Amino acid sequence: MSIDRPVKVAIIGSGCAAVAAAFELTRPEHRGKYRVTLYQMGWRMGGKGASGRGPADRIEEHGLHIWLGFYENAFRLLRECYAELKQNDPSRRLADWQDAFIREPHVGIVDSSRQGGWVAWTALFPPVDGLPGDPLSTHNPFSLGNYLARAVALLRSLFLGLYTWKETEPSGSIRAFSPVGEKRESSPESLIASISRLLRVGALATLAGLIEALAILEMLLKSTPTYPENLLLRFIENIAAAIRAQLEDFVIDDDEIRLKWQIIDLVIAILVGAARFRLLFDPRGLDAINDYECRQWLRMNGASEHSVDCAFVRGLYDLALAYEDGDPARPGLAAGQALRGSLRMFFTYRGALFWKMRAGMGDIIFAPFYEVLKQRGASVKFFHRLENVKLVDPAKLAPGERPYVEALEFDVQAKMLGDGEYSPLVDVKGIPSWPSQPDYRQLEDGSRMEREGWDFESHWDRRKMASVTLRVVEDFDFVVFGASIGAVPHTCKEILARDERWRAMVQQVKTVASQAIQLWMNEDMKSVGWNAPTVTLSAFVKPFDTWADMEHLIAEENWRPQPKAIAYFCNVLADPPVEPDRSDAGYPQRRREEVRQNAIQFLNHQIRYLWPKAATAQGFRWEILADPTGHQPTPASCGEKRFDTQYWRANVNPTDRYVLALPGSLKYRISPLDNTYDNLTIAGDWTDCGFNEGCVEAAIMSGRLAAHAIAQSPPLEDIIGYDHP
Amino acid sequence: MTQQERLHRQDPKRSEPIRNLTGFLRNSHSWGENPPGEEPGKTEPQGSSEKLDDVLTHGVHLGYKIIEEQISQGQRVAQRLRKRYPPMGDREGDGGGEIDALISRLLGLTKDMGTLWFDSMEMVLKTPRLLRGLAGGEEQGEVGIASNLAETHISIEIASSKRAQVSLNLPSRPQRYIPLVHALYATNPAFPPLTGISFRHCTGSPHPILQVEIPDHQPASTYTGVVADGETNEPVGTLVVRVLA
Repeated sequence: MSIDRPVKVAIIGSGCAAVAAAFELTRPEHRGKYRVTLYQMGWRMGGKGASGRGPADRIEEHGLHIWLGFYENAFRLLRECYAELKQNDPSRRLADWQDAFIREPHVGIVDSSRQGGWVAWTALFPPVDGLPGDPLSTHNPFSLGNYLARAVALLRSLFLGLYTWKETEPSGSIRAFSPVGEKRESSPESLIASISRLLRVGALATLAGLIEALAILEMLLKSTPTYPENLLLRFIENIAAAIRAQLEDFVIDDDEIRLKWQIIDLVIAILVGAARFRLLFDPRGLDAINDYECRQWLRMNGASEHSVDCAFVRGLYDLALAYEDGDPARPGLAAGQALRGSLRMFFTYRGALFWKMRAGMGDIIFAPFYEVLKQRGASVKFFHRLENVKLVDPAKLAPGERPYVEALEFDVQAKMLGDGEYSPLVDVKGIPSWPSQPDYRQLEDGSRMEREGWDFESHWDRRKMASVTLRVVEDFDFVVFGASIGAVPHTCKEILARDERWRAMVQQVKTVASQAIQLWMNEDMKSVGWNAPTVTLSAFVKPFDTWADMEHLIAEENWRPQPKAIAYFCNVLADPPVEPDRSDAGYPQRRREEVRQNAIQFLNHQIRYLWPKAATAQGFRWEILADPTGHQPTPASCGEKRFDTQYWRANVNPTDRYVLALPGSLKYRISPLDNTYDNLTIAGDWTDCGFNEGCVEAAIMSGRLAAHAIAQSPPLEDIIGYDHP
Repeated sequence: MTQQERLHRQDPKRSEPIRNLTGFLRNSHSWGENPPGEEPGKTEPQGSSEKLDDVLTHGVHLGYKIIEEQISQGQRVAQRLRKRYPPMGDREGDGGGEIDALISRLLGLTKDMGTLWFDSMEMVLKTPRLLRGLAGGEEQGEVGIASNLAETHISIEIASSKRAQVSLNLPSRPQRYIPLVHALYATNPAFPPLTGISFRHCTGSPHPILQVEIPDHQPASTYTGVVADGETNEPVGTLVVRVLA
């Protein structure tokens, strides 16, 4: 491709994938070769990661967003983005990327206890050398040796580094926690119990190691095509099964050891499965088992029912929102991708396992990217809602010519006053931030839109001010479709009508709605009964099984008086049996009301198990919720009505829905590198991007792949983890 | 606007990740960095990093290490417990006889299993056919099937009543050899292997033909295996046959 004009690239959407593609294509190394324009409906960038500042400048998210320590591509691009901004303005707040994150080493899960009540387990994941996004020059983190070594280290560290906070009061709530192994009583009974536990731990370690070793041996024998069946193999299998059963009976009544054994059992099952399915030698890598549901695959390889259903596994499913149609009774996760995700998450993180953003995701991620892209000459066209990707008439194609996008048709939701450019950011304590509502003052007829309640992000609000059609060559040369897959059926009808692969992708790559609540409280976590460290916790009861303590955000908001605690909860939201018609404008509000009711129920009846002092026998203590207007609670406002001062949302818009990695579905994904359409590539965590699970890292990888499809840069070898087995 | 003005995308060199063993073991210099002394943009060729023997030796070494560590850990625990709690008859709960019995059982199992492991591993290492079975995807290249076929001029004949896709990944080698295919196995161990696969030569043609026979009762699945040098039995490539329902 040799031309003497800039190559015009139209990018649809401005979430992680779209931004990554734009960032790559506008790199200074390209010397302005690509002129990038992002088209975004509504007033803010970010897609599912968009956030806004509401009353008291409080941060209002789509849901709970935490970056994981293995997000190598995401951190790398973000670090480059921050470095570029800092170079131009060293005095800006949060100038260094590390200032923009805090490290979260604790991961928690909640399980019902054999002795009744609930047990919360919090594991400390120690810091690991390096930082995500650091260059990797000494070793490959995705090597067989590395994973095996880390698996062994995990088994060993389970006995040393797993801190367990166990229920010590009989009330059924998790009131007091004491780390096992610290400050124990010295009575004979407690000492005997400790030594007994120690012995059990020793037995576990030894036997687990043997089973693990035997599992590998079993693989060696089973994977050999012509080796005759022999008694040795059968003997090994029998012994392994017997030991497993023996250990299960032995430890199952002890909550502490039970969880440890379950994790060991799962690790063993993974090793056995990797061997039995010849994953190390299969050219498809872990994809070879993606038709199996993860739990089913673990069972096939010897994991016990207790282990497969343990809080640890449920916690991983919760974090991945892995419930088909939002139904908690239908967990679904492709085994290969689940394994890949777990290996990456636990064995290749750097710095910390979890990284929490110091402000909203929009503020920490998308505002800096917006600023850098603008500095590089890219444009962002807000209030542009894509309506149709128009393909060329096949009759016009020359022999051998691939089909291509001829036009992009948009609804223009709002026009700027004076045909100016929309200025989207506001300053909050020195941090450029996105508001939760558009700035109507910049819009033509803005006051009317505000009065009439135009919802620019609602799939069911079709109002617009104008239409515009972009044409190939004239307005764009290449298109990156970077919106979520939920938009495909509504905007790519011509492709779907012609292309069986796209139809299969849309049918098979499913998404799920989610619900989220954010609470600001006048009492700190200790006062509501949570005495353990700050944590991100999952596997709690539905409908809000995942909770993150976000107290660190208080300083970035503008409350008077300041709240003392912030808590985010999220979970899936079940879909209705019939998809609502697009003319059903009231649908989002009905779902939002449903989330409100779920939240009230949850706070009245479930939260006491986590925060025993947040509720009384009558229900949740509503007066502890902080009001952003500063109004102190009165008896009249202290009931459930006070929940209305908090923030909650139902993510039901097609593009807001979370992308699932269901078994049997991943092979239907299409790669951003696919060149069926000459000038069209796709980007998002719904594409076949090497890490096929809904997350920031997948989206960024996909965006980088889309850039590669257009510019042959970045090199595929530079997209970390793309060539992961 | 004219048709000629429209820009075209270059075909990608590949459109899928490399997920095989060589990718797994590749000594990556990614993040755009190159090893010292290497030209920018030049990437390490596939399959050049670690040989099968190295991999296996490493795996065996790790296996031994695991066993040794676990055994010694168990023994240490048992010794400590014996020192503090000598046998003193049955006792309620977790103490006394139960602990003693447990120690005996633990040490017995440790001894038996440890011996079994060492013996079995030795047997595996001494069996060349087992080693070849391990060689699944070694030295698989990143080039696509089309270019391979073009380079090596191999035709494929499929005899099957079912729809099937064949992916032969056979990087070019400097020396000539006679290809040999081992049985192909499905991910589901219960499925029978595909054994009716062979290379043959036609009279008058210097190029081999890959003949794939799929029995009518063969379950739909993806079957993978190794192509070896018929003379030395060294793995030279991989073969994947996808039998569709």
